Amino acid sequence: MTISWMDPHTTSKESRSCIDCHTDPKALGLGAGSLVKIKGSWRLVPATSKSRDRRLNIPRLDGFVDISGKPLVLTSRKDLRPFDAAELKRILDVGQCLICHKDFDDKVMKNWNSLSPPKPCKFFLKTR
Amino acid sequence: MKKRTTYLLVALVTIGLDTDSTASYYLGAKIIMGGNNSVVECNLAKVEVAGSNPVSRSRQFIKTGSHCCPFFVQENFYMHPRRRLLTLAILFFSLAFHSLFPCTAVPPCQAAAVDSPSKVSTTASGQIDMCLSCHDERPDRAHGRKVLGCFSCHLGNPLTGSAKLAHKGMVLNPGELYIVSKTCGQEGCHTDQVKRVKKSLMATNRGIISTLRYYWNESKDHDADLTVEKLLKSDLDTPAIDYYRKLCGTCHLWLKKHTLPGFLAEKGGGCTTCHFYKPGVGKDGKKTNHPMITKHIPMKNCIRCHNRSGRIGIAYKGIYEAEGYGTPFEDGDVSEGQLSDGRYIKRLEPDIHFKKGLICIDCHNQKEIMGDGNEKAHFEEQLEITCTTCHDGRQRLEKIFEEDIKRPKYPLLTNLVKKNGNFFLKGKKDQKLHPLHRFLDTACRHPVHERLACQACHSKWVPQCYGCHVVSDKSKDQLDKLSNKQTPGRWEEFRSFMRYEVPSLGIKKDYKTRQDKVVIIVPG
Repeated sequence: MTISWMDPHTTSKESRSCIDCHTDPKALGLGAGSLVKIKGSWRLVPATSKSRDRRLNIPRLDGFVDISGKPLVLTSRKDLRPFDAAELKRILDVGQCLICHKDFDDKVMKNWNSLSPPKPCKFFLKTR
Repeated sequence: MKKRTTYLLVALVTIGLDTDSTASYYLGAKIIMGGNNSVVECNLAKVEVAGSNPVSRSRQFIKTGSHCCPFFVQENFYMHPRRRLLTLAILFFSLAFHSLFPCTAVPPCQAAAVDSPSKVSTTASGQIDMCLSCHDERPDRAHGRKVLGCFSCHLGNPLTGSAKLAHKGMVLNPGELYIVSKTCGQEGCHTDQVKRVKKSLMATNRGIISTLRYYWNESKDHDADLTVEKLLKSDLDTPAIDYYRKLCGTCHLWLKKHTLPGFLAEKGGGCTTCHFYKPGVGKDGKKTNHPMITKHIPMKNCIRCHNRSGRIGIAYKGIYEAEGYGTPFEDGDVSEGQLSDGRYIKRLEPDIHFKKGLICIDCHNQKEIMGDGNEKAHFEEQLEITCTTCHDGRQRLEKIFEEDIKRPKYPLLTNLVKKNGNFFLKGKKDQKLHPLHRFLDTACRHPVHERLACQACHSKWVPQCYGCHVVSDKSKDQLDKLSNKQTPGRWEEFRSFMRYEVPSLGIKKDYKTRQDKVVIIVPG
């Protein structure tokens, strides 16, 4: 399995929404599926599966990286890679906040500092 | 052929004409310009073979002629009747001499045909170009028949009246890379561009070849220095190279036009891969079969190749390649149409730049496309324009505008226009002024999005081909697109499923800043 990078040349004035990337496993290279957080750790329930024939050893076709940040593919450049474990966690954790604080019009998002993120709100604490 | 030219030269010297012409085929020019009366009277001394570029010589000639001797412009050249008679006499003398003492050199000498025209044809600068006597084709203005004649581009022998001899050594397409240094790239014409384009990625395919070999475990890295030009001379035979030769080798500038079968015949052609269109009717309203050379590359020339792999050419126009069976996306019917090669398509939202009327060359400048003279491994190394070149606001555009004035030969944006203090991109096709808007600081310049490439958020969709795999059948033959020969072993491509929604993201170091950037990743 191999991946490349590209500019698709399908530019639009409107961008993808924050939640499109921060909560969608396919956008993060994990492949289609459902994400759940159990005891502080993210898990993926994939929508696609490995080949049932073990002899073929064909992995999930849309998974470029697993949830632990282990790359599952070769890349077309030395300096190209899927997200690593820390990046995946950081992106997905922010995704939890986006349910309420939808975009940069929201003051929490507008003042977000990745070095010192805001203290978890009550809702966030419940979902951990 | 050389002998015959020598006879001509000898004859000219014998009669005492000026023969210190820079090249034998400029004899006509010397006869006209080196003469006494017409040149001196018309003060055309400046025209006398300044440089070896036929275009500049012609322009110089016309320019001078237009203000001092209108006759030159009307007739394109003037030759004193006695000189005209003398020239014809020399030609016939040469042919007769040649017939009496035929040479035995290879290629075998042909008897001079008598299908020669009744008059000597010349270009505006006075070069004898007998081709013009029979051929009526009208190329574009810059390469016009009276400017360059036929020989400058198509080679052959312009001094003979015999069709057979004149056509010897001719090339149909002067843009083909294997001959281009003698045609488009000859000294005084597009020498620099030809040198650069031979090292550009469209000619070398270096990234495609090296990455393919890396994927197939034939190379240790992605940047190996193996090019199409080297493969053409090489007998390297590995699975990846065989696959490249049979499936990928149709999209590079070394491919000769009209050599491959079917729709592939239109691909290739060196310079004319891009700088080429067939108008049918010229600007003068007359029908012409001669292709036009243009620097305003039509989009269809780019898309002829850029419609596979990343499929950016068709995606830009909002065309998504659907599954091979014509996925019934709507109303239970097959897809909305097919490409010329039979692939089914679905119409999606085009790129906003396409909707506004911009074509490929409005953004991609000459050095990006034709290279800067240095061999690169991958496309990002050859890129100069990014989204922020235009959309980073006034300060950046002001800087580019000022710098571009200092580098008129290779500006970053050839079509950046400043009007009433505002900046616009002038469409090369629609000639409209497109305002350049700055991105939103709130989202795009927020520190948490510092690593995001613009495309990561602003690309609406991307074609994704999952489960791409190939099958090799060694019992069958397939056309090697580099050698144009059938060779053993057939490759066939398959895929598991196609998608266009939810582009995936990953990390790549920016080629210039070496900072991590969040970019769009696709299988492939």
